[in-house]
Amino acid sequence: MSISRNLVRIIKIPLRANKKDLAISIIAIIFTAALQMSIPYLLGLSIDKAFNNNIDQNLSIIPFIQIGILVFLLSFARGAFHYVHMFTGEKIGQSIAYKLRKSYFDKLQNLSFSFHDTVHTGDLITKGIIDIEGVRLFVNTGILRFFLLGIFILTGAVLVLRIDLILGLLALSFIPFIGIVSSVSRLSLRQNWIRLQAQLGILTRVMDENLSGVRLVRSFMRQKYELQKFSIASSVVRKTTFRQIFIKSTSISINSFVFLISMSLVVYFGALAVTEQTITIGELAALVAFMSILQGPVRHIGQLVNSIARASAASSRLYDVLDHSIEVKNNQKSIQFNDPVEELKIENLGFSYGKNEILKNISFFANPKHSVGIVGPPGAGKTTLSRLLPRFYNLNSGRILLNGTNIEDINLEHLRHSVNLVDQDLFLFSDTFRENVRFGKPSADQDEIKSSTLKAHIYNHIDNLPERFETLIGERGVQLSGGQRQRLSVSRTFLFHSKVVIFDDSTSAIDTQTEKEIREEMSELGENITLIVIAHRISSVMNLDEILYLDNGTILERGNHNELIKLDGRYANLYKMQINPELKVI
Amino acid sequence: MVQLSDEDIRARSWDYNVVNRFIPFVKPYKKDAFQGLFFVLTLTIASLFIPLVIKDIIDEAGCLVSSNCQSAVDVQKALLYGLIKFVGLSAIIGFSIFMSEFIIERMGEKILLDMRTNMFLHLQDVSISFMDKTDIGRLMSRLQGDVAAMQEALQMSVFAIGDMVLLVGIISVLLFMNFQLGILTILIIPILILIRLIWLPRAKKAFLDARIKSSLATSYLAENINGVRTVQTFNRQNYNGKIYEQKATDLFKAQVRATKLSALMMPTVETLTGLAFAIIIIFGANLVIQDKITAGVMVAYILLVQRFFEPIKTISMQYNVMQRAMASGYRIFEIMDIPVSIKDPVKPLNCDLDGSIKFDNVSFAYIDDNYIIKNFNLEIKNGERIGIVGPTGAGKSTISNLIHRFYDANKGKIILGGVDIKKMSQTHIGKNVGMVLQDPFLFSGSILDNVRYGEEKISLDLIKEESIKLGIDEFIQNLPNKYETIIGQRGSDLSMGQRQLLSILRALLADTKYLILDEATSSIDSYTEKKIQTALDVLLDNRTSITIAHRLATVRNCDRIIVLNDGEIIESGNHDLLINNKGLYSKLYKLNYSSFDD
Repeated sequence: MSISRNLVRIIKIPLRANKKDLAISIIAIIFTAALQMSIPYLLGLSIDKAFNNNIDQNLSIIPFIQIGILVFLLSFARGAFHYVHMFTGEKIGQSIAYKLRKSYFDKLQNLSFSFHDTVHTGDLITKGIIDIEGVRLFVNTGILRFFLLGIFILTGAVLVLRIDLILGLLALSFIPFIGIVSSVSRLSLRQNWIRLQAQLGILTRVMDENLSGVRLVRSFMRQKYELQKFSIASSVVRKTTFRQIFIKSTSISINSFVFLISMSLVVYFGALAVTEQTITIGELAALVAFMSILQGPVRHIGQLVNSIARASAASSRLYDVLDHSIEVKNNQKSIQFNDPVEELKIENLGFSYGKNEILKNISFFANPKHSVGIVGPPGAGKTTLSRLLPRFYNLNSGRILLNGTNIEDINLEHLRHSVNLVDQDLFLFSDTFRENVRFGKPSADQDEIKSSTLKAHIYNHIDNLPERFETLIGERGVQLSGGQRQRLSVSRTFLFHSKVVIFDDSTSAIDTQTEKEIREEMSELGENITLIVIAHRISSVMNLDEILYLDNGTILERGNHNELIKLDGRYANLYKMQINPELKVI
Repeated sequence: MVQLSDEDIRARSWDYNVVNRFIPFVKPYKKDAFQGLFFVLTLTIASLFIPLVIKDIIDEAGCLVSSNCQSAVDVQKALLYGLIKFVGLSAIIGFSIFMSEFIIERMGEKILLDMRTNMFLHLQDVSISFMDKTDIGRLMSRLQGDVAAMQEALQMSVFAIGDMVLLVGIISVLLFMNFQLGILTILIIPILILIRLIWLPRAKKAFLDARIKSSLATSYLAENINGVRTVQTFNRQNYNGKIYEQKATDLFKAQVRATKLSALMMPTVETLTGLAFAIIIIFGANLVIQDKITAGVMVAYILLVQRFFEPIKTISMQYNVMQRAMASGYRIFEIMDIPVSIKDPVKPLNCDLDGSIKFDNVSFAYIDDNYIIKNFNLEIKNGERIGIVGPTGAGKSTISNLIHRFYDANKGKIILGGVDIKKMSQTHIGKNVGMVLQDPFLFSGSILDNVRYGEEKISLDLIKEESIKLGIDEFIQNLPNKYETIIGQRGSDLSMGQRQLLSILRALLADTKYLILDEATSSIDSYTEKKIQTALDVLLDNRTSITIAHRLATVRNCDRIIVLNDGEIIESGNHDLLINNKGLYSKLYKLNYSSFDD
């Protein structure tokens, strides 16, 4: 039975980290099995004695009391060892799950935007829950139980072969059959699990999108179409699940049947041997009791095989993520950076998503005395550019310099602390206002929180809520309007004290006057803030020192407001359009 | 207000209401359930016969050895007969295992699917106000995890019936073979019950605790995956990693604690089995010596006692599953019980609509009597292009929500094309009223799938034609596979503006009589917006449209602009009229403010 490469990696985790528990568990298994197997022997012995005493009319009961007490004590010991085995086994399983959870979480938190752009969050969440669970179950109910079964069979084999070679072999004859059935079913189950997990992913996506896009679904009244998508996805899942049930049921029933047949042969030929007096009745009873012990585990082999198949599919899905290389990371010579920003300089920057060229040959600079505004049509590359500056992606060409140092050489944490992006796609956590505001600086006290929310013009709103800063946001708490959400996100940035702040269309729902005031607060905060603003509203950028008109990934026009108006190009047109929308498009 | 309860606060292992609600889901599969049960019982009874057959065989062999029975030939025959019975039973058992596993698991799967479909269907009808307030992740976990927990419990219950029968069967056979020894052997049952009584309340708490910890860790993971970009922006990776580590550690500890208890039943049962063995050895042997029972009976006793505890073991294990299932069932039915507040009339009046809209004294509040709009009156003529502007919270989006009947007005009527919207079906409204929403939602799939959105009959030629008119064909042509390009999750590889453009195209292709554009161009620069408006001038020619915006330029060309403040119309008229009016609109316009806001 070949075990997949990723499963081997799972098995290696306890080999490395839980050596002690693993050793205890294995020793406990060996003792459990040995004690377990000594019981049929004693049972056989007592039957023999009873049988012979019956013939001899020996009425002494003392040896039976002795055997009885011994069996009880051995059972107690077996129980104790079994407990140790179950407990340590489960503990190992849980600790593997713990380790996987932790590395999975850390990995996801650090994987670059380019990874998160291509995967579905629902898929990632499923992996983090269901697949880790699948792997965990495998350790205890899979490997260790298999091991226990193996030891049972081994110790049992010694016992039965000692009683009678032929009968012993007969008693073990079911093993190769079950081995073959299990390997065949394992392979098809594994294929099936891989398919099933992928199909479940699609089903999840269909449901998730339907619920997240509920307004769209309702406004187009396409519930029927949505239901059709759902039905297709679930009937595919159903078919695969039925197949899995079929394989599992078949292998379980064949295993049990083969086992019972070999048991019946043992009983029959054993009885014949008894009549020929080659073995005693007690020995036959011991053989039967031995096989009877195995009956339960054999029936579970089907489940075990299924759990191994599942774990093997789950582990490859997990390692898909865990092995993914983190594209944006510190290089070896990355340096600390806590200085005030003198200049952010972009030189011949080029960037593409796959083959899709988004930005080409972009050069500009920004500093505390030279703020930059960026405008342009959809798809011009504005958002991409804003995400390149804190290095959420690596550049394809050109470079970005912070005080003359290539940002690729700056410690990432320091870089992102210096250069902060207020994204248009803002995310608030379902936590209190307090925790959301101080998201970037969890140690911030109420004074800091107050001052940053005041500056972002959201303090009064929060302060008027029944539980003020302790109020929860989201489902369990208050719903916020677009403008309030944006202000909250701005307050988060205020508290983060970055030297360079990039606004990516992130004040669009805040009125012009408030926006202006927020901007002023920002410059009062320290004259050393470097500002880059992406906006559609001309009033948001017209007072900045340089404005770039971006189209199709290149800078089409640049200059300050007056220069650009004089140039009478695209920017000027945009401006006129906003103050005087009667103009026709050229 | 409907709100979902917290997860995992329930510890009951039997909740009459949940079980009662669950029964209708099993009903359609009565046949499966009975068949499954039949095979489980067959399996159980056949298994009970195995020790008896073994007993017969051993006794036959035994009597020959102790030479107190007939000829060796008869014994040979009896042994062969025993073998045939054994093989026959094996075949019955093998077959019953297959049938019971297959039928019961398949039934569980079918019921799972039914429950999920039911929930999903119900969620298609519950009010938007509920959906607005509810975290999708929680709904998803109910559609997936909770349904699976119910399924597991159901399957287990059917097998548990088999286990109970096995238990009763074993006890009967034990008593039948020898009453005295039988009584002695089953004396251990009260001991087990006693231990279980002590064990249960502790286990209950430990299981519950483990489930709560698991749900805490899970929701933290989910939220940080969703907000990963913000996490990286604020360098929170390590900090969050530590928080998660704490949650994962708590989970680990709780699980280990639960294991400590759940694993305890196993050694208890095994020790008690040993006790039963001791009883059989001591008293059974005595009975054998006194010729009251045969050696075969003693073997049969041993074999039966060995199986005796199997059902007890599984029943103990099942406790956790039941507890989880009851909590899950509660949550599932909570979803199914969310009332559908907006229903279609019994006899919907789905006639052609004439393109007019009338708000007749409409009042509406989202919460209590916090009225967003009050005694609102507005008449829109067929083919009219209406613009609605006003600061945040003025009630702009409320108006579009009401037209589409996402919410019902508290007072007054909304008359669409001469018919009260409450008198027509919601599908009819959907067919007539197109909407472009502020948040441009895209599905996974190709651009084509997205703009067609289920209307397969929309030809590619038509799509191209319309997108050329809108001026977005060029951007689509530049994508790697043009219209067939598969977009990332929710269109994450497209810019916000591009997503808005696609959603405008989608609404136009739906070809509705009315079109509502709710901040549909807010992420698009004025220049592109202007181009789109020029295109819309032609495209909206025969339609009635409402454009909602806070940018003045967006509504500049509308036939009539309505300035909304605090749910009231404070100004109305075309651009020139409003400028002459010297009201708020003209003031903002003159000040060069390009938008309204709070």
